[in-house]
Amino acid sequence: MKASKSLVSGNTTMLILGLLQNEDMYGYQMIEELDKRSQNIFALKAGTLYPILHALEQQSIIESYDTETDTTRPRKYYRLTVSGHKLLQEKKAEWEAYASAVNKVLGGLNYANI
Amino acid sequence: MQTYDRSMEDFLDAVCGQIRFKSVHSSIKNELSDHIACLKDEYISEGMDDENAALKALQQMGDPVLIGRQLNQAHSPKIEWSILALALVLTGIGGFVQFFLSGVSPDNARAFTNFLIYAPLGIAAFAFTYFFDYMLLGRYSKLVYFSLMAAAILGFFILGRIHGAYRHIYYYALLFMPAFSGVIYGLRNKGYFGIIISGIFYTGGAITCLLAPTFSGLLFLTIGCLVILTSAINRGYFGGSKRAGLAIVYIPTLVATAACISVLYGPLARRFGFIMHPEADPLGCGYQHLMIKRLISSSRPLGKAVLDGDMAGMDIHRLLPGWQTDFTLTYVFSSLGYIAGLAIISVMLLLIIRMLGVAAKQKNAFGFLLSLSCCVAITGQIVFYMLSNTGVIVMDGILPFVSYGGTGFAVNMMLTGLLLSAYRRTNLVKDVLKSGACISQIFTLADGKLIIDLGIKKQK
Repeated sequence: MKASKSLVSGNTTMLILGLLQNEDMYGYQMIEELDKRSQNIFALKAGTLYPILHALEQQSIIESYDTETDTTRPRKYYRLTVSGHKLLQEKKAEWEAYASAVNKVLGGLNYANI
Repeated sequence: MQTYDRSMEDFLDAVCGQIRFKSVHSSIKNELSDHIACLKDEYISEGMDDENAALKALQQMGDPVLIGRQLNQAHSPKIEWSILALALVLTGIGGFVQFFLSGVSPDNARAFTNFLIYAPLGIAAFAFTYFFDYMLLGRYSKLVYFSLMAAAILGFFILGRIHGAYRHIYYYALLFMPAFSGVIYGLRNKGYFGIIISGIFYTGGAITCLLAPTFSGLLFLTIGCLVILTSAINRGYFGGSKRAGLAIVYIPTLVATAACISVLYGPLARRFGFIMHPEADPLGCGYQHLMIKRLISSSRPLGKAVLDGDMAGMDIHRLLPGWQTDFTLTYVFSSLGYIAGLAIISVMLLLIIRMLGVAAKQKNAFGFLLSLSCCVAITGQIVFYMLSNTGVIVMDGILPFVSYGGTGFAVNMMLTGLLLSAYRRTNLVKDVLKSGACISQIFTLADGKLIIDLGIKKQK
């Protein structure tokens, strides 16, 4: 239980939820898309991705469904649930607060000397 | 090609070797092999040859044991603590009540000793069903159904009658419900024909109840089966139109009920007339009912009820037949006070609410039916026991977890165990109904012909 909680709290979770907010995706597609959008900064491994996806599904943050592809394999897609959308908004707000705080510290202005 | 498949198989086996629940293995294997195939295709498109692409794809996946371990953590079983705690609290309350009852009269001195014997047996029964893979009930539903019925019939020959009836059929009726949910699951997507067959399976249980005879058992069985069938039809388990499905269930039910009542009106009126007019026979049939009402209305917040008139100062257990079993709650109300009685009732209500919540949230198709059936079996007992113990109706029964019989305790523990077993594995078993597998109309008009489709052929 503990491990899955820490997985969910991590930033990777936020990135995964962010990927799913506009489009349903399958695992491989998520890694590709993350790589592309972050311009190779975030290289997510399959071994990290799937445990997170499965843990999120257990907590009903995302849900999965199978579709038949042109190949004979069924492909497992993921999408956000209602609580997933909510969680993403929370994570986004948290991140923006954090990022702006960091920027204020690193941003050069020294308020103490003004 | 051969080496590639082999090593991918090894990789997937190594991953799944770490995952405790075998039911998720195949879906994980499918997903990972799809991923590996995508990687391989990418490497091939980059100009790599087949074998090297396969090897590199596997290397890219990382350590299978580590992935397996993390996936295993994600798929750990879910524990419904609140129901577990409530069942435990109620068992404790049961122990306290039995301890209290054993001190009331020397005739009942063994009540607490019995509790000490039966409680561990009941908990063992709980543990057995809790760790049991409930999907087996769905897979072998007919075997379960007929074994249960065989056991009930065997009981007619071995066990004796108590007050002219076979008591064990009451327990049979309770356990019938999970078995019936399995039967319905087995008939899913079978259309209207499936609903009719479920009716036949129900009739088998109802006849067994009539043979006993147990009126309360029949009532539980009928209500339980109706609830299970109605929810199954509403959730589209059978396919076809929901309205037509409900009509198939309820029209015969209403007709049969009306027929029974009209045929049995005379005897029923004699047998149950005292419920309407208990005053007519205050020392005979109406006695119990009047006594319960009197005890409840004169109960105090704490301590013994104060009776007036001719009964002032009399021992309550001498006035109330069935105080050790069928009317324990009335006895608690009138001898410990209504705070104690209401406390028991509120814990019971909490349990019902939690159980309904768990059943409603079940994602798994059979898990839903099974948890619903257990929930209905336990809830039915609680509701009818409360009604009879507060003087609304007159009926014998068991208050789950609190009133004894050891068998009753064990049966209720098994029902709770099954419910939690379904919850435990709710995400581990992928078993969602395939919709649209069946026809939606019985009557269709095509080429000038009226086609009556009962949905039987579609499943072939």
